[in-house]
Amino acid sequence: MVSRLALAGLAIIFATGAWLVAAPFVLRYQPAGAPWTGAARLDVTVGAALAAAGLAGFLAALAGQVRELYAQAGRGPEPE
Amino acid sequence: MGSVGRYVSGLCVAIVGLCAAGWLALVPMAFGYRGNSQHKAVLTDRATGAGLALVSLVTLACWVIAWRRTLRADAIVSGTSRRQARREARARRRRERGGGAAAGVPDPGRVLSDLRALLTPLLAEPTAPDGQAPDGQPPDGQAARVPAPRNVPEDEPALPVVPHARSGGLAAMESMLASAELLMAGAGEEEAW
Repeated sequence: MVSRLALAGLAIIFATGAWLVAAPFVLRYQPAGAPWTGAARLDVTVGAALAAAGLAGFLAALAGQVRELYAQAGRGPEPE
Repeated sequence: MGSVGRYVSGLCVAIVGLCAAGWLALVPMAFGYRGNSQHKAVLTDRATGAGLALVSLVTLACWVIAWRRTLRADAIVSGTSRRQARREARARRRRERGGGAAAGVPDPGRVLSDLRALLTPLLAEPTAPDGQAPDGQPPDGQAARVPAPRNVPEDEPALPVVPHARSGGLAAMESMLASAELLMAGAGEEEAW
């Protein structure tokens, strides 16, 4: 339960990053075709970093969980 | 990257999220956003920062709990937390105190039954060669049953059947047992006072 909640938290962090990237265009405080404002540039930068970190953390945690499941089942993952 | 890497990556991402939330909360003040369009950006940054801080804190707590559980399961850290250990110690003390009080006051019925079972064989007398007891009691082999103490309920297991004893000795023993019973009842009442 806690493990799933922790994974969900990482997914939400990734989603928040994606939202920050999209927010300037969705809320139109960055008009299309106009030069980028400081706020839009900052939000997109922070959002991209956050989304990348969230995705990497989520995938790492998921991989660890799958490895644990394999270990509990008594055999390692199939070699490629 | 083993099992530890999973927890470390989760914790790191949660901490990065917390930092980003703080940054988003400070950015409008740091860069002095102005104008109508910037007002939207300020609102977005503050709302997103607050939500992100909350989610990051919950995620951080979840990873900490999950990691601690794993460490306890692997017996790397002690099995019980300090609070749990204190609670268990308190419960154990209470149980010991309760057990000690129970041990201090023996059940009078049981004590008398044990006493009766111990004393009755001592009073038993060898029977006469013709199979009759000297004082006209039934022959040996027919057992006499010693009456149960007054405070033993009816559904208690039956007392041991003992060989017949001398009537005088039995009467004396019954008198002694009754006195003991009275003494024990008196002591119990005194303790209750």
